Parts: sequence; C-alpha cells; structure tokens
Amino acid sequence: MAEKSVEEGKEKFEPVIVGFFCRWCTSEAADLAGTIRLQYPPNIRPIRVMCSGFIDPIYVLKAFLEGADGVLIGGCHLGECHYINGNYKAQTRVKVIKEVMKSLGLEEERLRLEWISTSEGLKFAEVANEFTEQIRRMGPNPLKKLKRE
Amino acid sequence: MEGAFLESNPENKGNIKKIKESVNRFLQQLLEKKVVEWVLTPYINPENPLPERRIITKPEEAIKADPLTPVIPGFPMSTFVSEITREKPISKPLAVLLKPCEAASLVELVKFRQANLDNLLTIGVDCYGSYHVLDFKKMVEEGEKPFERMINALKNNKGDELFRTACKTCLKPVAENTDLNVGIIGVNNLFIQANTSKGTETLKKIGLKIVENKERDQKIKELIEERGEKRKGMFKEFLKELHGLHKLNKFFEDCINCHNCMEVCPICFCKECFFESELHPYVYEKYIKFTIEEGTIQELEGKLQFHLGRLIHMSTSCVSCGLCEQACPQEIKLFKLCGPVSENVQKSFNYRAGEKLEETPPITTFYEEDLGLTEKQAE
Amino acid sequence: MRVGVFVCHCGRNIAGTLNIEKIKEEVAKHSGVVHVEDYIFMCSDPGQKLIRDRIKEKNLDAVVVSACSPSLHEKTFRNNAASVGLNPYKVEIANIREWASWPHEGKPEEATEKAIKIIKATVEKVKSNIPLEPLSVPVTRKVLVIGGGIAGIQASLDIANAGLEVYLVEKKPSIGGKMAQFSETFPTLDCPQCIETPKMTEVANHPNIHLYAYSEVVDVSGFVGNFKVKVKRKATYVDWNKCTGCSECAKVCPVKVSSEYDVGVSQRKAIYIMFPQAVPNKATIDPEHCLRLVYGKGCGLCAKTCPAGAINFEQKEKIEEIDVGAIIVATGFDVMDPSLLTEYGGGKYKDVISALQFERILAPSGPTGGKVVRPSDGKEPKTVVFVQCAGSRDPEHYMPYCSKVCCMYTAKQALLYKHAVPNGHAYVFYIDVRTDGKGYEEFYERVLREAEATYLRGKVAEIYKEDGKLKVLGVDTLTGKGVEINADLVVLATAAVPSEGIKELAKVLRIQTDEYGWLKEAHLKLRPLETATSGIFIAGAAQFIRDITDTVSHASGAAAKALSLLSRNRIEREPLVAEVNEEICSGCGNCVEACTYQAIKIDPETNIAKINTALCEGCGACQASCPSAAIQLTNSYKKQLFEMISILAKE
Ligand code: SF4
Ligand code: SF4
Ligand code: SF4
Ligand code: FES
Repeated sequence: MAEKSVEEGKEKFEPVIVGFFCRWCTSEAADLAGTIRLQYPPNIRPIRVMCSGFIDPIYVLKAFLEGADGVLIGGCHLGECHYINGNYKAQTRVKVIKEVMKSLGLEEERLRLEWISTSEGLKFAEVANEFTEQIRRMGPNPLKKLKRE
Repeated sequence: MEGAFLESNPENKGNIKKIKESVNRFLQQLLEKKVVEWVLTPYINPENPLPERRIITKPEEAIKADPLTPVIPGFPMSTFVSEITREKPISKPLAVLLKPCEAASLVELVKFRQANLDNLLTIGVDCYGSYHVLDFKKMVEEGEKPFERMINALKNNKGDELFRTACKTCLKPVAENTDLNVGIIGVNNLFIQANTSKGTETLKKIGLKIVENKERDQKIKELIEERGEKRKGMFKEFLKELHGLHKLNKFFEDCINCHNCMEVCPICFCKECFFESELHPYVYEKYIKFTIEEGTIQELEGKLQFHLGRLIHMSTSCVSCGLCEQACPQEIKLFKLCGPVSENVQKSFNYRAGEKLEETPPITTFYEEDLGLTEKQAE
Repeated sequence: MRVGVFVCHCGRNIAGTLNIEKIKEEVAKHSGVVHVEDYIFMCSDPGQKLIRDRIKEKNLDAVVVSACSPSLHEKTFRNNAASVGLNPYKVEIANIREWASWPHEGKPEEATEKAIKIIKATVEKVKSNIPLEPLSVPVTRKVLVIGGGIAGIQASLDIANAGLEVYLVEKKPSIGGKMAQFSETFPTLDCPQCIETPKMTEVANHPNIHLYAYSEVVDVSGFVGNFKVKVKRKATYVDWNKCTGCSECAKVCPVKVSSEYDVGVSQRKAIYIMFPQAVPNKATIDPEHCLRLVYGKGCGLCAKTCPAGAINFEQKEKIEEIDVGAIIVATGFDVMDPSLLTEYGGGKYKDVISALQFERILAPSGPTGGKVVRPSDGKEPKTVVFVQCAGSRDPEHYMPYCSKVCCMYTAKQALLYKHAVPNGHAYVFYIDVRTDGKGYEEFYERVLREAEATYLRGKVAEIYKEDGKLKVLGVDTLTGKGVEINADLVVLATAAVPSEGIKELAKVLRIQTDEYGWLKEAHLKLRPLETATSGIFIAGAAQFIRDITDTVSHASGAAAKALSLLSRNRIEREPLVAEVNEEICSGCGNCVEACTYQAIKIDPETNIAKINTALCEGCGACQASCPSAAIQLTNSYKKQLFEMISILAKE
C-alpha cells in the first residue's frame, strides 16, 4: 500500500485519521487551505457534516472500531455555530466520550475537538500537521494489534 | 429527618427481626385506610425461593409482601413502574416499594419521560445490601435465611462478603426522592421516614406520631462515609483491571453478546436498542466479510461497540444498581466497568444520577460555557 | 444501484498530482459503480454534456462528481443531472481538489489513495440518498435594515422604491451615521449635509419605510423568507407624535453632557436633538444624565417648557415584533478611541485629537462654526501635525489592517485647514499614501500643491508636552533623519474599528464576524454582500471599512440581493430535514432538548416525537442525541455515516 514505506526493515506507521468537519467552517477552512496550497499530511480523511452538533458519539466510536488511529472533529468557534449552539452540544458529547475513554485507558488523546473557522485555513493545516504527528508518536490504534493477535 | 416509629405492636419494639411484620402491617394500613388502592411490592412466591413482584389490592394480602428481601430478582422495580405509567399516569393511587437504587433509576426514568409519578406514593426501603439472585436462591434452598443474614450483618455493622459488588460499594443505602422510606438503618425499631409533604400526610392518615430522628441521620452518614472509602479503593482497582483495550477485550472474552445486561438496565429504556437496530446486522455482515478477509472471524468490534456504545449512552445516568452484572449469564463482572466509569463521567459534569428530579441529565443539559476541551492536552 | 463516477482533471489542478488512471481503476471495482469516466473540465459545457449523456446511456441512478469543493459546483452538477431527469439529490460531490490534490502536491501516491477513499465514501453516501423535492415556503416580502448610516439609508431607499416595505432600525436618535459628522468629503469637497440630508428626509417621508430610530434589534428567529424580529424601542421620554423639534426643551435643560455627535468637541443637554438636520427631528432624554430620571423627582424644566406637552417621564421601552423576509446589516464602523494610543498622548493632551473630532472642528456648521481652533485654549493652531495609520497597520500593538480611508481624509483635512488658516502649516506623517479611487490621486496632488503640506514618510515615535508645546518626535525614513516638530495641534487618523456592539448583534442574527468584529461575508470575492446565513446581507462598512462611494455601491448591491430574494412569493428550501421513525421513538425527549429551533415536540397522545418541518433547519443535532436512531436527518442517515466511516477508517 502506498501509505507504507519500508524503513530500516520495518513498516513505517502512517496514521489513519477520520475527520468530521462542519460544513460551515472547518470544511471551508480545509477548502481554503487547499486553495492557498498549504501542504499538510494526507492522513486525515474528511467527512463533511452539517454541524459539529451533528456528530453522534457513536460515529466516533465507530471510527475507532473500524481501525482509525485518530478522530478529529472540527466545528465553528463557540458562539459562531451556524445553528447557534450545535458546537456546545458537540462539546458535551465529546466530553462524555473522552471521560469514558480516559477512565478505561483508551487514550482519549486520539480524539480531538478543534474550532476552526472558514478563514482559518492556516489553522486547519497546522492542526492537521500537529495532530498527525501526535498520532504518529502515539502509534497505531491498539485494536489493530489486538486483531492480529 | 422526621418520621414515625412503628410501635403498633409492642412486642416488636426493639426487635429488628420482627420488622418484616411491622412493614407488612404498615402496608396493610395503607390499604385499609385507603391511602392507596394498590401496592406494588416484592412478594413471597411459595413456588420459588425468589420473590416475585406483585400488585396487592386487599389489606390481607399484605402479610405476604416482602419489600425488605435482600435481592432484586431480575428487573428493577423502576422498570415495572415505567411500564405501568409510561403511556399515561396510573388511574388509581398506587404505592410502590423501591430499593434505593430502584428509586434512583425511577428518577432518571422520569427525567426521560419514561415514567410518571402522578398518583404514585413512592416508598423507599433501606438497603444494607442484597445478594446475587443465584446466591439468594442457593441460600434458601440450603435452608439459610438471607434476610436474617443481612439483618445480622447490619446489626453487627460488619457488611457481608456475599453482597453484590454494587451493594458493597453502594453510597445510597437510603432512598432519595421518595415520599416515604422504610428505615432499618440506624434504628432499633422500624422507622418510617417522611421526605415529602405527601409522605407526612400519609403517616398522619394512618395515625402515626411524627418525630425527629437525628440519630439515624448520623448513622447513615457514617455508613456512607465508610462505604465511600471502600468504593474509592475498589473502583480504582477495577479500573486498573480494565486499563487499556487489551484488558477490556479480555474482560469481554466470554461475552456472548446476548444483551441481557442492557435488557435489565433501567436506564436502557429505548424501545429498540441502537445496537440491535437494522444498522447493525448489516454491519455485522461487513464484519464477517472483513474478518474473513483478514483471516479470522471474530466479532471483537461488535462486542466492543455494544459495550462501549452502551456506556456512552447510559453512563451519564447510571445509578450503580449493578443489575447488569447480575443478569450476565457469562458471569462477567460488569459493575467493575459501569460503576467506576459512570462515576467518572457524572463527576466530570458535576451530576449524580437519581439525586434530584429537577436536574437534567448531562446529555440533555445545555452547557453554555467553554468546557475547555480544545485546550492543548499534555501528551 | 447504478452509480456513475465522473473524475475531473481540473486542467492540471487535479490531474497534475493525482493518478487519474489509478483512481478510475480502483473506483470501478467498488460495488454499485457501473461507470467511471474522466474529463479535463467536468464543469465546462462539454463536461456537463458528457455527464448528461452517460446518465441516459448507462441508465445511471446516482452520480458522484469527483472534482472541486461542493461549495463551488454542487448546484451546477445537480441542476445538470436534473435536466435529464435524475433527481438532484442523487448527485454528490467528492472533493478531490481542495482536499487531496492541492494540499498534497508533493505526495501524489498518498494523495491518490486519499482521493480514492473520499470517492468511495461518497459513492456509499449517494447510494442511500433518497430523491427529494425542494420544500417551498411562502416569504414575507419585507426587509429589515439595521443601521441608519448612509449604507442603511441607501439600501432602504432602493428597496422602498422598488415597492417593498422596509423597517429601518437605528440605535441612535437620528439616522445619518458617520457621514453626517463629516465636514466636506473627498475628493469633490461637497458638504455631506448637502448630499445626505435630502436622502434622510426622503427616508422619513417614504410611504414604504418604517423608521425605528433609537431602537435596537434584540432577537431574531426563523429563517430566510420568514424571520421574526424583536425590536426594542428604547424610551425617549418624549412623545414623538407630539414633539415638533422646536428645541425649546434643550434651551432650558440645566445639564450639560459631552456631545456624541461632535465627538466631545462640544456639549449637548440631557434632553437633546442630535443635530439640527436630525431625522427624525425629535428630542430625546438621556436617562443617565437627566436629573428628573436619575433622582426620580425634581427638575422637570423641559416638561414645563415644552409647548407641545410632549415630555413623558413615565415612558417605558417597548418590544415590537416584526416579520420580514430578508435582513440587511448596515451597522458601519467606529473609530478607535485616541486615548488607547498612549504613546501619542491620546486622552492625555487636549490638543491631541482624533480625525473625526477634527472633522467636527472643520465643519462649517460645526460647533466652532468652521473656525479652526484647538480644544485646549480655543486658539487658532499655526502648526498642525497629522499622524496617519494611528492604530492601523500595526500588528504588534493595534490593528494589523489598513483603515483604507485615512490617507484621503487626512489629505482633505490638510487642505481644509489650509483654507481656514492660510498662514498655518501642516505636517503629515505617513507610511504610504494610498490613493486608490476615482479622482483620488489627482486630489492628493492638488493637496500637495495647494495645502503646501509637508509629507514625512515615517512613524511618529512619541508625542509629549514641553513648554506648553506638543513635541512630536518622529523619523523621516526617506532621509533617515530624526524629526522634531513643535505642534499646536495633533490630529490622529485613528484606525477604523467595527461598530460597538456588533459582536452581540451578530450573535442575535446568527452571523459570523472575523476576529476584529467585521462581519464575515459568505465568500470574500464572489459573495461579498451575503452572510453565511441565507437571507441576511451586509451593506457598507460593517463588512470592512470603505469610503462613501464604495459604501453606497455596496448598499445598493445588498438591496438588489434582498430584492431578488424577495422577488417571488415563495422560495425553495433544502428538503434536508429531520424525520422520526415512530416505531422506534420512545418519547424520551432528548431530541426536543437538542433542537435549538423548537422544531420538535412530544405528541402528548402518542408519546412520540413530532417534527415541524417548517422550523427544522436540518442541523442534525437531534439525531446525535437520540439514543436509538429513531430520529434521523434526510440524506445524512446513520447508515450512510457508518458506511463512510467504515471506508475511511480502514488503512
Ligand atoms: S449480559 Fe453478559 S454476555 Fe450478555 S451481552 Fe452483557 S456482558 Fe455480554
Ligand atoms: S435537524 Fe433536528 S435539531 Fe436540527 S433543526 Fe431540525 S429538528 Fe431541530
Ligand atoms: S431522542 Fe429519539 S427516542 Fe427520544 S424522543 Fe427523540 S426521536 Fe424519540
Ligand atoms: S455550524 Fe459549524 S459547528 Fe455548528
């Protein structure tokens, strides 16, 4: 596969990150980042959703269980949600997932919530870079190892 | 707190072992004085060592009521209340006897519009601990009396190793939010505690003398503190045992995905469980396809999806009844999971399930503040 | 399911990075895909025709166009498919340009891999999309204009003249805005009163305009075509139906307050008419200073004097509800408070003033009657230093942006000063002189000649007082030498900033602002008049500082946008709304709590959630809160999300 290259005899780890991006802000920021040719790693695979408040925690769980190494949720800044307060709801839901993950030692850092507005193409690229690097350092989703065992 | 001692039968005075009779007499009076027309209570089933749940309507039936029995046979009482009152409030006044965890889950069910308290007289019964249904059954079959065993443990303030884990760590030995409580903790004589004006009215109707009882308050406080310490330690251990995906997976190794744990859970009120919806069989096909592609057929994700998903759905309202654990045919110690995880989740929202009727559960509360989730996390 | 996938090269924009052949090969293998084809420009006429032809030939029942962002061409491709009978909602866009080829130019293989995933996920989505018809809703053919400066005035007049009703809401007691405060305007030097006042009067007399002065928008609900607006009509304590604008009241009022209109250069009374040409020409009591209102008793001199008996100390504010179909925000700008600029002695020295204050001093009808005098002692200043970019273009300390109008008005002020004080001398510190408008450069040249002003390229480092003189220390970056000027008056061209309260208003309107508070347009280049919320438009400097010419054009543009929206009696809405599966709903009410638009109720009979589709905005918050997937969002079904996730999460 293209994502894997051989380095010192062992496979280099290329994280898979599922992104849930609000169509009113983070999706647009990702568009902008592309338009101005900011370069960031191709590890984030985006899904465009209506609002960060659209994200059912089960989607996040699903992504991890399907093998994603990280999940990035992008919404509008607090107070700027197109639907007024969807992002506040997203916050609460993310908090529940994170508390569950944290309690069970499931590396809650693999889930990240960011507020990225339409004009923040640069922030989008920075977050993409930084989060990909963070997940790379953390290594693969332990589920994968479990399944190989 | 205020309430009344049941001193109607002088020979029972000071004899905690006779409290069963006192409670039954109390229930009898409720019916006789037409305070309620029905009483929903655990009830002695002559055919079976385990009690059943029954609605009694005649005063004389009260002799066989068994509200203090130290077992929850299968479903919690709150589920029955939900089934009776969900569609529309009950038509005749009904008294229902609830263990504290059952009372707490009833509160949560009311918040989710799954139960209606109109026309209900809620009576909590103090619970010092209860036994796993199978242990209970075995005891009875072997001639031991679980109720007396529990009462002795209470008298000696020793606890009982055989109590369910949820009970050993339980911080609600006395029901909150009920109209009345049948008090056996911190008293020598059966004490009916009144928590609401409706409760006080009831006691008056029966002709009981209302008194203050500070001693009981103190005793309860001590018990809760003691349990709190214990719970802390145990929960820490539990989470250690479950730390990380590998251990979690190991924990569920024997799970057969029967979903019994969800069935009995009072908080899992959905008509159709999300994890049993049409979305899932479909996904399962996929799993099989993928796992075949990967050379092994295992439903690891399915199991984890169910348990973690369920945790996400119910942890904000879990009342620590531990009935999931009791329901598991594979003897998976589920309370080790949902107990401490739910506690953490609820603590993070400064919420305690079943505590206050007016409080909305975190998942439907709108927090108009920055919860600080986007702050850089230390790596 | 017969899905066709069309892969656009976008010239080399996509094909230059991504391996189109590989994409085609991989996507063709995906279940349900019956046709894959690429073309150099899918959005071109031949590209569109190609898609139409294939839909017919191959009998496609769903289409994925793998091209640029859906925010650019989704509509185009959907309409195209609809023209040959394929339901537009059976067309989805896979964004492989902004999201794959452009940001990963150096990694063609990985980018191709990512594009394939995106396309496959989109195919999965489109497979479960159901065909939909747009919802058609009636519209209220009325417009709310917020802000009564020249932008709001222009927009209101354009719309009213087209025959639609307008509600013009202004928070001050009079319309006119900043323009009414200016002396003469560049580059033509006409007096704004002469050109703006007639428009103000026209507004006041227009049968289609309801003017709500001294009022604020406090709540907006509803959606495009059907907004419900709550307007707070603040108490003026004067019955405007009776007030004749004679100003007798102000003459007797004993309380003097610094005048907002004259930016502190003069004083007004606690009861006042903002300026002589105010529209409406009615008196207002300032409750913070009126003795009667502050102490609850006493004074009342105005009430005794008013020949019309218009004073009413008991008046209460009122909330009025109005229904409109579109909203134009024309809230303009403010200028930075000079006291923030401490290094220039702003707020500390009386003779360091803002350019807006100087406008009032220069104004022929202003507080000094057009005589140029300085605030400290009323003497005529012989040396005036103008400091441009005071607070602008200074990312470290103040605003990083250029305030755009300061170069021109500074030049104008230098000229007017020269006209007023022929023996005076003006110095202008500037970073650049930007003269980007019709006749602007010519005007600047004229100023250099006529005003004999000394233009010094450089920043002022400090201004302090020594021996009663203002010492201006700066550097002339052209000669590299330090400059020191003894000034009588310093005029700071303070940065333009978004108008006060705009962030709160934006929240009420559910529109966005940028970090400073300038309103955010839907697209900087292509949709500069629209906000992201449909039906809400921006006019004038609320979006970003602009001069009068541009403001008027922008406002007419916004008016045209609103008019075209309201040109029909009904408008079509996206049919992407929530639906409830009654079999599964347990009536828990989680969705009711989650819905911000109160679109869901629990039916008391059935105990099941019911949706009011007219109120549903399609945000999906409800479906995220339902524990049993009983409520779902049309064409964003959980099944679709699950399928997409499962493709994307796999290595
Ligand atoms: S009851 Fe036990 S076996 Fe059944 S699903 Fe729950 S954990 Fe698994
Ligand atoms: S999608 Fe749901 S939450 Fe959003 S507006 Fe519609 S009904 Fe309300
Ligand atoms: S959240 Fe789901 S189950 Fe609850 S009322 Fe709404 S649709 Fe019904
Ligand atoms: S619209 Fe972007 S988070 Fe709600």
